[in-house]
Amino acid sequence: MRTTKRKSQMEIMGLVIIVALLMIGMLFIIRFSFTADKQTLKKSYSDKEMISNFLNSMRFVTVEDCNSATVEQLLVDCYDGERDISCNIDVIDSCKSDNPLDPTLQTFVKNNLLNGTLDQWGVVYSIRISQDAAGTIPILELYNPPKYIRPGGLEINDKACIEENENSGLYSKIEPYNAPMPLGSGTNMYAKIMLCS
Amino acid sequence: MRGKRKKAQVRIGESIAVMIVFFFMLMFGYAFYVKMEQNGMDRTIKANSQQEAVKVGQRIYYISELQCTSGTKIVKEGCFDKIKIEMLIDLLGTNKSITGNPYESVIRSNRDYYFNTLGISKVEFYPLFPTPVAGAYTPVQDLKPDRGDPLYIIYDASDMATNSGMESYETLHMPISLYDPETNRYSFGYLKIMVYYKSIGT
Repeated sequence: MRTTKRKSQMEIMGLVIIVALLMIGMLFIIRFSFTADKQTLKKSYSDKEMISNFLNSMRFVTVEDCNSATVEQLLVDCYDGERDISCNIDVIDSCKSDNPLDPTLQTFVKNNLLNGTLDQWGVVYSIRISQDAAGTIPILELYNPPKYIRPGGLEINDKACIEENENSGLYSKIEPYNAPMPLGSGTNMYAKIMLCS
Repeated sequence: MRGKRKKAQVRIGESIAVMIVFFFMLMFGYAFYVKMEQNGMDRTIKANSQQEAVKVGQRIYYISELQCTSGTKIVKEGCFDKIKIEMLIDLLGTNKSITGNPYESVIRSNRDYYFNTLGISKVEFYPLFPTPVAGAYTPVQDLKPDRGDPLYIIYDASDMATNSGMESYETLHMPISLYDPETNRYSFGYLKIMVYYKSIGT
């Protein structure tokens, strides 16, 4: 009788040890999952900074092929819709198009300013520069990865950082925000930005 | 009597085996814990240096000595003045030997001043648009941007990092435009900011 009691006590002790070990393991898992969250926050902060710096600096760039106009002046020109600034039509012949092979201001910005910076650094974004805060009249639309699978704008890329893919589960965090862009000559534009990670 | 003795020996053997397994598990657990702690500390150091990189990036981005101005007061955000950069490089003697320079003591005190702001880091400017032409070079520092060199090394405390055994670094990029007052043209590029730190692994 006494031996049986002792044996069961030993078994209980064994169980206690197992439970204690499991709890320690759980503690480790909880700790590391919190650390991973912190890293994402930091990355999104620096991505946000990079996009805002890009929008600030892109405006000043001089385009020799457009009578030495700046990107800001070209944006205002697109806003007015009159196209007063004449450009070398092989470089820029219109403001935007869904075909990335067309020589538009959008393609110019993407190829010359974004490819070597944000795209190169792996920032997943969509930037829509519009005349209105709601983004219904877009002037420039910039995406990484591209919005459409093929030039022509028919098939939407399911990897693009856009509203349509919000529920796809591809990105764990999608951060939309608006940035006003006051340009020269009293023109106000708005940048609607989405950051995906 | 003999049977009892054997039973006791088996029990002692069992206990020893359990103890060995227990201590083995304990040692394994301890090693795992130490490794995890080390990784955790490494992550904290990395996170802190990432934060430091962001801080240094903010400081250099808003540094009034380099920013473009129009008129006397208005600062253009995201734009650096080419001549101001070259002047700062001259004042700091960046990427140049200053031994024997008649202004060595002045340059050293300038370096000390900017060390308080930018710490153990390196700040470079890489041009992107217009694309650097073949054979282009920066006269002030003898760099060749068409071969992957930066156009300017604005600030460089990497020798201090080497001397203190800081082999790891955190990199931050910042797109900026570069204004040339001589031609009244703006080009585009980015700042590469490297903040050095000592990780446990190194």
